[in-house]
Amino acid sequence: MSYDPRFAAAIEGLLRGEVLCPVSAKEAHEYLSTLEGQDRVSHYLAEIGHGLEQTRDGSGYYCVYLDTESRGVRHRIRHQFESAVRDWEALLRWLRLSRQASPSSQPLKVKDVVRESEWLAAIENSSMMQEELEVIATRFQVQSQSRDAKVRLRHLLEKLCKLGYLVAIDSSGAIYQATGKWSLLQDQLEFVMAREGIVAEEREAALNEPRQEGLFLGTS
Amino acid sequence: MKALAKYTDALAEATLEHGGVIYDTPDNRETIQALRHHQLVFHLDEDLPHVQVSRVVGDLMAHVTQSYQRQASSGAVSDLVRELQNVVESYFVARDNGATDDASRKLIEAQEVIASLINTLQAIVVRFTYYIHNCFSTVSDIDLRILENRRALDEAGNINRLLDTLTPSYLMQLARFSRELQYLLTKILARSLSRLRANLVDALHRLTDNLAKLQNDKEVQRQNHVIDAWLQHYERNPRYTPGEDILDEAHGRSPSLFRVEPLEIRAHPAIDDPSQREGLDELAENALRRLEPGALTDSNVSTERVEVIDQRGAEEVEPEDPLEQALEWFFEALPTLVTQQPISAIDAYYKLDVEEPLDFWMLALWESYNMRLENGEDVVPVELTERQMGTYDGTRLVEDIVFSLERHHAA
Repeated sequence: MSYDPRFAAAIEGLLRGEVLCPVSAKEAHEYLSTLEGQDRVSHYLAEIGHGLEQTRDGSGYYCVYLDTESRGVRHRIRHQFESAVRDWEALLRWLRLSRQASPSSQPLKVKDVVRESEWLAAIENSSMMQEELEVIATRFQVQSQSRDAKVRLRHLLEKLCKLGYLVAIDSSGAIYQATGKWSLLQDQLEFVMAREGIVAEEREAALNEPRQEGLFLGTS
Repeated sequence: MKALAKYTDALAEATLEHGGVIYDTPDNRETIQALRHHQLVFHLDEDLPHVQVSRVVGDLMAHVTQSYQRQASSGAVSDLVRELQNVVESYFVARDNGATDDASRKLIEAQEVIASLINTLQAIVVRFTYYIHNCFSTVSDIDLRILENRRALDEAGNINRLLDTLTPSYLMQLARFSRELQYLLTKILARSLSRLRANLVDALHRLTDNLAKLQNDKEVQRQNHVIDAWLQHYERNPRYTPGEDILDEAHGRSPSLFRVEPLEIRAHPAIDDPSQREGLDELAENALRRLEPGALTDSNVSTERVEVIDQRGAEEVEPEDPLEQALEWFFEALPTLVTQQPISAIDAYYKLDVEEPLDFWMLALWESYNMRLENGEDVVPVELTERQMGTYDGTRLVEDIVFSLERHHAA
């Protein structure tokens, strides 16, 4: 079988635990978006007990364990879960911050561009956002001697790049693009919140409404 | 007609406000009876407390009031096209048979069908324009809006495909050599179709944009809900961490929680392979980039330029171990020296100025001696100067190793 660099790039990226999306791995993503690519990669991965999966929004591909009964695999899955869960609060706070910092007031999603200067301007104009930035840095354990928002923001952007949520798209490191890993996070959060019965307050209120109405009417 | 005129208010109210039904109340009983008599309403089910206004009446009311509650669909357009083909066919049959009156009637019929077709298409385009401008704002649920938008897109797509078949050459073929039909089909209808087609294509693009926007809105709504719900949960439960039992439940349902741990792939570049030069350069550059600025000058690492010489293939003489060298000299000189007098290993240690501790020298010398013996070399007889250890019975302390020919000769 002849060497196919796109196949190799896809397999290597998937086994590194990356989410392959148009931002992080354009060619590998394109290859996986073809039926032939999916088929070849799935077959290869299946032979080592792994599978190919896609995020719900279709933006990214990632590799999963198929043999979840094996003790070693279960241990690795647990380890991976524990380490992912540790970052959730900080990532969610970052998403809330992104909603405040972005001109569209929408939370960050795959392919969105993050301009350090725009974010900095928004943060410097709001003491609440500065405090939130500090909390996020603490949650991520990104320690910084400086209380300067610019330094803190830069450290956080670098941290998110390291975690695979952002990719620097210019040489100065001032413009970043969001990857499909945010979609994976959304999938994980949605599943766990459904299992754990986590709902937002307004929705909770809406769910309780008929019961409260019943109390007034004396039909409860 | 008289019944329609008499009960216009009731019919308008039914079609515009009550979804096409008239409730069977004592006040309405007489109206219902009269309308049923003229087949303007019918009972969908005898058990239901209302009657249904006939579709033709509903369409008429909608048309007159310009409310597009009940709109013509692609199916209606398709029916009209089929009807036109039939009427045209009948016209030619009548004309060929010399039935002039029938042919004239069919021509008028064709004119009506064409007018109806144009009117229906116009109504559909108007409806799409309404959708586009209002973005289904009357529907509050975003999922329903997306569904409505999809339906409108399907509808527009169907009509577009239908219009694809009504090409100028097809209409020309349909009209044959009839000047009247040529005028109706290739001028009146073709001109209207061309204009409506352009509007329809525009509507299709806008509906597609609308759908993308609605889907994006839905995703944002979903994402916002997740963010807010989780952060509220963290605020209420600051130490919250989801339990591992979630993983059992996730099995087969949420693959996102079974993502593989990064598999570390280590590779060693073949440094002799010129084709890997680029990769090696990149590795070195990345390693240097990782260093903090000034790290090299702050540490004791010299930043002076070092000339690198390619020494591959060159032979390098490894310096001999001093202890090995001393042993070599000792055993080389031993056969000569021992002819004069017995040679003590301790004396040799000091004479040869061995750097290693004395016990190292003694052990190495004894090992080397035995190795030479095993190899069958001609070696000088040896005698161990030893004494019994007082404390441990049977244990003897070797004080010196003496090489001597005397005992050998005596033996």
